[in-house]
This record gives sequence, C-alpha cells and structure tokens, in this order.
Amino acid sequence: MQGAILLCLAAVALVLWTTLRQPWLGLTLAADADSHTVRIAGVDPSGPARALPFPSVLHALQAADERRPAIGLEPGDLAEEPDTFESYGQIRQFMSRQSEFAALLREPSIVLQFSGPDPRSTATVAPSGRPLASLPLSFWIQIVTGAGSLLIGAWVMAMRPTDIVTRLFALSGAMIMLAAYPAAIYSSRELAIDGGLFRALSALNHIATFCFGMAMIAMFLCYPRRLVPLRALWIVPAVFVPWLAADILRLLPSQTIGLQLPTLIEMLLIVGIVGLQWFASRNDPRARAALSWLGLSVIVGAGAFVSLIIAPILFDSAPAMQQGHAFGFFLLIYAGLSLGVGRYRLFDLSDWAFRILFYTGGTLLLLAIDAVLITILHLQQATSFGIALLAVGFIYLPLRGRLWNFFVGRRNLEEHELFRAIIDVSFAASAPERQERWRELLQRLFDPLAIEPADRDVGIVEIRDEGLEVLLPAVAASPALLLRYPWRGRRLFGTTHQKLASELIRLMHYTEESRNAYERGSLEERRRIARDLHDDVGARLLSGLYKTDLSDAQSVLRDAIADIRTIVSGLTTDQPLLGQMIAALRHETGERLAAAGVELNWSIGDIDDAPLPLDYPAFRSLTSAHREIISNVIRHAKARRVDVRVDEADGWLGMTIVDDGLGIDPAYVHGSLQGNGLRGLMRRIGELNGTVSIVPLSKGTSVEIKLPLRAGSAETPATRSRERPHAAQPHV
Amino acid sequence: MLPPVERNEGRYGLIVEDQADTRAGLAEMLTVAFDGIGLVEVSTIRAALDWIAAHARELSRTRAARHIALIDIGLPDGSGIDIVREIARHHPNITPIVTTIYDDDQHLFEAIAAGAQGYLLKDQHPDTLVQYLHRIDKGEPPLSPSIARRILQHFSKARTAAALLPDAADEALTPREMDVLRLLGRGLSVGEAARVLGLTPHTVAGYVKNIYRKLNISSRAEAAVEAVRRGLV
Repeated sequence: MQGAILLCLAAVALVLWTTLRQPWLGLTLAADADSHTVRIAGVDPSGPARALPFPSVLHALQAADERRPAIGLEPGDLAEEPDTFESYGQIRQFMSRQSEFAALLREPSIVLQFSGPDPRSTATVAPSGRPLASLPLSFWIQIVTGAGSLLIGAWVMAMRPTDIVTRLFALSGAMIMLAAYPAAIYSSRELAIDGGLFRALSALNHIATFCFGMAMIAMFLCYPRRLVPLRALWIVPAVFVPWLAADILRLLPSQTIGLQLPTLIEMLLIVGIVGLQWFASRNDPRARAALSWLGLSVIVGAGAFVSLIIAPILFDSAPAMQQGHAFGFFLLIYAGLSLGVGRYRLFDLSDWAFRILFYTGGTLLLLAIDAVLITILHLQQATSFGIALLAVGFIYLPLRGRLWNFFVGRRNLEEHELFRAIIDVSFAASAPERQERWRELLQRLFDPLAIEPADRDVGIVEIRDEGLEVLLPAVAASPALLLRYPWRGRRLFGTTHQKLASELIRLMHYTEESRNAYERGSLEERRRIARDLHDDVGARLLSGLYKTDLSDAQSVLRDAIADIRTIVSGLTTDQPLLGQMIAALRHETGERLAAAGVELNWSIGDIDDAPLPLDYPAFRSLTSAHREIISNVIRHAKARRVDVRVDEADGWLGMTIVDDGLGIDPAYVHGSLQGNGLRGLMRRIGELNGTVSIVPLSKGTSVEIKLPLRAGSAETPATRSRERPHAAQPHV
Repeated sequence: MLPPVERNEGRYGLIVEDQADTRAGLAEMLTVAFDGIGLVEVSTIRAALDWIAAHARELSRTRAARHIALIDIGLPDGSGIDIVREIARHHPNITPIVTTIYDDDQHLFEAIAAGAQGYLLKDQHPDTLVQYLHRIDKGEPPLSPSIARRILQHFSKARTAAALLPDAADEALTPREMDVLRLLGRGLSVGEAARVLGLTPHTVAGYVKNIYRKLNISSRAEAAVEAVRRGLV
C-alpha cells in the first residue's frame, strides 16, 4: 500500500514536471472546423502573449530570426487525442507537425501571424515555462482519477493480497492511471509537444486501455464465481496482446481496427461475462449481490466511457464529450468497485446499484434519442434535445418506476396494512395462534426459505452472514427467530429490511403491552365483581336464608338485586360521578317513599353539578348506606316526611337524612340491640375512613354520613384514624 | 284509588314472560291494578305475536291504548323488544310496557326507542309496580335519571342527523321538553319537576309522553339515515 502511494506520488510529479516544462504562450486555442481556421478564444492576462487581441484567428507561427518559413496552423493540430484520427498516415503527419511546432516553440522568440479586428497583423512573443494555474480542469480530473483508481485498487489488494481477483482489480486500477496520465500530458498541451514524446505517451495509453479491458475480462471470469479454470485466463492476453502490438507498430489498416474495435469488443465481452455471472449466481444471493454492484459499476463506468468516447469514433462521428472529462467516470467506478470487491456491507448497496443503473439508463437513453434525432431527422440541437427530454420524461421515467418495483420495490404491505397485520397478530386469541400469525406475517413480508427458532436472543434485529440471515428478538409469544434466505434466496437482507423489522418489533411490543394492560384491567375488574358479589350480595342472600318472615325475606332479596345493580352500574361507567349517583338515589328514594306514602324533600343542590370524582367503593357504600337508612325509615319510623341533604366541604362529602317519625331507640345505636343492617353500614363507612352520626331528634331521627372525597383524601388512613379515634363509631 | 271495575271490561292484559312464577306474580299485579282485566299469559315471542295477530280485529275495536302488554326482554326465542316494535307500529290500541330485571341503559333505551311506553323493574315491590301501572295508564310513563340523560344525549346527536333527513327536524325536542328531561335526569319525579317548572304534573306528564314519542320517531329516522349512509336503502 505504501508502495502504491509512493508510486502514485512519483507518477504525479513526473506528469507535472513534463507538462510544466513545455513552452507556453498563454493562449487558449480552439479549432474552427467550418472555416478551417484556428481561433484564439482566450489570452492569459499574465502570459507572454497578453498583448494579443481576442477573439481573433491565428494563422501561422514563425521563428523570430526568420531562418525558416512560417508554419500555418490547421484545426487538426489541436486534436485532444490522436486516437480520433482514422488512419495511421494521418497520425504520422499529425506527429511530424507536432514535432515542428514543438521545435518552433522552443525558440527564444516567435512571431505570431493573426487577424483580429485589423486584418493580418503580427506579434512577437517569447514563450515561457507553463504555470501550474494554466492547467485545465480536464487535466486535474485525469490526475485525480488515475491516482484514485490506483490507490483504491491497491487498497483492495492489500485486504486480500493473494487473491487473483483483487490482483486483477488492482491491475485494472493501475491501468487507468497509465491511460490517464499520458493522456493528461498530451491532451492538455497548449499547441504541441514533441512528436516522439507524443507517440510514446499515446502508446502507453493504448497499452493501458487494452490491459484494463483484459484485466476486467479476467476478473469477471473469476468473480464472483469462477467460470473458467485459471489457466484458461491466458487466452485473454493471447488474443489481445498481439492485437495491441500490431496497433502500436501500426501494422493494421486503420487505427479504428487497431484500437477502437478491440476496446469495444472487450467491453462487450465484459457485459457478456457479467451476464453469464448473473445467470451462474442465480441461487447464490451473496454472489449475486456482489456481482450486481461490481458488474454494474464496470458496465456503467467503462460503458459510459466506451459509448461516449470510443464508439462514436468507430462509427465516424465526433466523441460526445471531452475525453479528459470522461475519465472521471472511472473514478466513480473505482470508488464503487472497491466497496463491491471488499464486500464491505455489500447488501446495503443493492438498492443503490439499481438506482444508479436506472439513472445511467435514463441518461444514455436521452443521449441516444438526441443523437438519433440529430443524425436521422437533421433537427436543430436545441429542438432535438427538448424532444429527447420529453420522450425520456414520458416513456422512461414511468418505465423506470415499474422496473424499480420489479427489481427492488417488492414491498408487499402498505403502511396501514402493516399496522392491521400487527394488531391481528397481537390480538389473536391464544399464544400459539399469536406465534402462528407472527410467522405468517414474517413469511409474507420477507418470504424466507426458512424460519427457525434462534439459539440466542440479542434483543435487537440483527443482520447476519452478510444479509443471508436476520435474527429477530422474541415477540408475540414466539421465541427469537432466525429468518434465512429471504425472497426464496433471491435477495439479501439490507438495512431497509432491518429498519422494517425493527419497526415491526417495536409495534408488536407496543400492541402487546396495550393488550396486557387491557387484560390486567379486565382481570382486576373481574376480581372486583367477584369480591363485591360475594361480600354484598352473598352476605345479604345468606341473611335472607334465615329470615322466617316472608316479607322480610322478600325485602332482603330486593336489596340483593339492588346491590347487583349497583355493582353493575359502578362498572359500566368508567368514573361514577357524584351528580349521577345523587340523581339515581333521589329517583329511587322518591319512588320507594312514594309507594310507602312518605313525602320526600330532596332539593336539587349545587353539589349535583360538581364534577367530584367518587371512587367506586365510596359510591357503593354510600348508596347502600342510604338505602339501608331509607329502608329503616319505611319499616320502622312511621314517618310522613323525609328530608335529604347532600353537601361537600373541605374534601368531605356529607349526607344527612332526617325523618319525622317515631325516633330511633338508643339501644339500636350502640350496644347489644344494634341491628345487623346498621352495624354493617357503620363498618362499611368506617372502612372508608368515614363517619356515621345518628342523632335522635325531638320528633324523628337525623342520620349523617361523612365520607372523604378522593380528591381530598390525600391523608393516609393511618393518620386519619389517629386524628379521628372514633371513626366509624356513632356519635350520639 | 282503583278505577271502577266496569272500566276494565273487554280490556286485555298480555303478559310475555318465560319464568312461570314471575308470570303469575305479574298476573296478580295486573288484576290488582285493573280489576276485571282479561289476562293472556304466554312465554315466547312467537306465541305473543300469534295471539296479537289472531285477535287483531277484536283489539282494534277498542279505543287507543286500551290494552296493556307486559313484555320481558330476554325471552327463549329472542328479544322482547321485537314485540314492542310490532305493537308500536301496528297496534295503537295496546300499550307496550317492558318488564325486566336489569335496568341497564342499553336495553331500556332500545326498548323506548322501539316504542315502549314504559318499563318496570320486576324486583320492585308489587305495591310500587301497581302504582307505576296506574301512572302509565294515566299517561305518565316513568323515566329514570340515567335514561333521561341518555335521551338528552340522543337528541343532541340527532340534531346532526336531522340535517340529513328533513322529517326528523320536526321531531326535535322543544326547550320545555329539554327542561323536563334535565330535571328528570337529576332524579326528580314528574310531580317535583312540575313544581320546579311551575307547571301542572299533568302537563309535565304530557311532555314525557311526547319525549317518548319523539324518541321513537327520531330513532327510527336515525336508523333510516344510517341505512342510507350504509347504502342499504
């Protein structure tokens, strides 16, 4: 790796040294094919030729001593890349002119013949060394691409130094540098470099181009699956090395056959072999994931270079863009390739691989339509571009969406469906059923070949074995599960799926907690009903068993039914409100007293509307105490009128029932004669930290019940019982 | 204050109740309340509807609300509310009264909405029940506080339904009826409500009857709106 860095630095230094020692005028020249002239498109304000006007036309150059005739300029002299000449004869001529110009430029002072605003003028200029700042962007793109490709290739090789695949990959990266750096020198020349140097650089470029293709072909024959024996790889150089030699020695009829044709063949071979690999890896999702990334990078990157730069020359048209810029494609490839070959979290990249493929597809289609419209229909460039853009917009983009869904999307559950599916799992009746439905949901979402209990539970969703398996924590009554070979082994688990699974688990936990809370709640409710039925109704019915008088027994039964009603109504409303309780009691008491011929005076008070919360035990005890007292009045008091008042003060609820009957026997209030009902009443109220005061009046009795409201019952029962030692004891 | 015996001649009291003892108790109560009333005791919906169908002509010859039907909700072949609905629609000469053991709002509200003229809790003292029956006969159906509150809720919801179905708008409650409902919802009796509002008990009883009628119509309208909404009609 360090060696690669040193090599890289040396190469960059060499390229810069070669480039900067070329003579420089400070002109930006442009070929004008229509008028067959060379234009001066720009003049460096600090360069030797800063006095020249522009835009103007540069006709010829001559040494200042005028020993030799002036040399006229031709647009072809500015060719960025000599590969664009078809015949070797043209190249020879181009090279000899380059040598003449180069020799001329080394003169201390030269005369430029140009015509600008004034017809045919001359200027004498002394060429200087080339400053760094004058190097064009394409030069730097090639420098960076070459360095990047070499270093990344070396980095990957360093990870697996003995692997033929990484060696081939590193070789291809080095070849990119070898192709880019000579090209950087000659394509960024101002006008000319020495023909001998030019030829050597061009030869290096050709060697590198051939070798890059060969390395790639060999690599894809071995990776991700070995398609041929290692020895068979020698066939590749056996075919292309002689071809390369013939090209460099200019033995072939034309450069098209010597360079562009073999390059295109190499490219097609790469595509074909990638296709074979795709087929060969159909049952191996890991191999396919690696291939989809790697193959895609090469096809997209190298394919773009070949189709934009090489193929147009082969079909007799101009390259679609500056070669120097097109080199940038290779850097993108290498960044991507390195990830692919290093198999570094490969599964994360699968979606991106397709995305890039589709974008590239769109761009290529756009260029293709544009080219067809221009060449076949002879449309204006702007018009044809517009039409091509529309065509891509209307045809390709929807198509791309479909392809995307076909290859990548395949999300078979919408968001809201997902939530419903989770609810279905969570609220299945039994644990085995929940487990079953959970598996069904996973099957539906990921279609794995196997779902099996995992040997351990890490508590989070974990992707293992490079995306072949995913480990899910225990949920939905199911143990931790291992899902293997998703989508019938055609794809791998990626972070998108990890996120989806984590979301699933999170929602499952949430719904399960809700369900558990609900079940706990209903269990508590069931216990409370059982307790109340047993304590209240049961006790009452038991006492009814021992009644000898029929009407007494009937009255016990009625009270028992009323108790059931209270228990039920206490449960059917979430929070029995005081106002509702008073209304129900007022109504019931009114009816009962009316039937007994007793007048009730119970006015509507402010407290009726008070939103005081009354907890269930208080609600039930107060109701049943009130009933008991009214029953006593009806049975024993012979009253004509009952007054009821309910009020609230300082967090205590007070209920006073006054009758004008016979009055209560004090012996009932305390001591041995205390009736069963009255004693039970006092016990219940006492349990709630309330008090019952029974006061005999001159005519009749007053009973007052006081209960702490929940809102004001912050004191603990213990402190209150200390403060009120006679709690639950009747105050007479 | 029992009504004169002769008033109850040709009057029928239909009892639909599957518990034999309870049926006997209700029969005795009806006899006490309306001396001379003709008792018909059945234990299923089928038998009740058959009897009504067989005697339809005879029943229709008397004046409105002359006959009384005491109907249990939980019957062996379904809900007694179906009988209430049938009577309310086609037999104006019968006063349908629901007799039940549970006073949960859901069932009672449904019964009133179906057209019940009152409901009685079977566990109440026979004397109380007789008193209720007389009150119903005088046109004063009983209304418990929780039911009153439910009806109020229903009508405030029904206002939105009325916007969809113009007929229902006529059946909105008047402010006076709302006042009566609010007072009954606080547990006051009809007499007390009358005193608070400065009306006669008879007038307030009339309001209560109106409320029953409007609830019946309104809930039918609501059902129609619901049916339209669901595309059933």
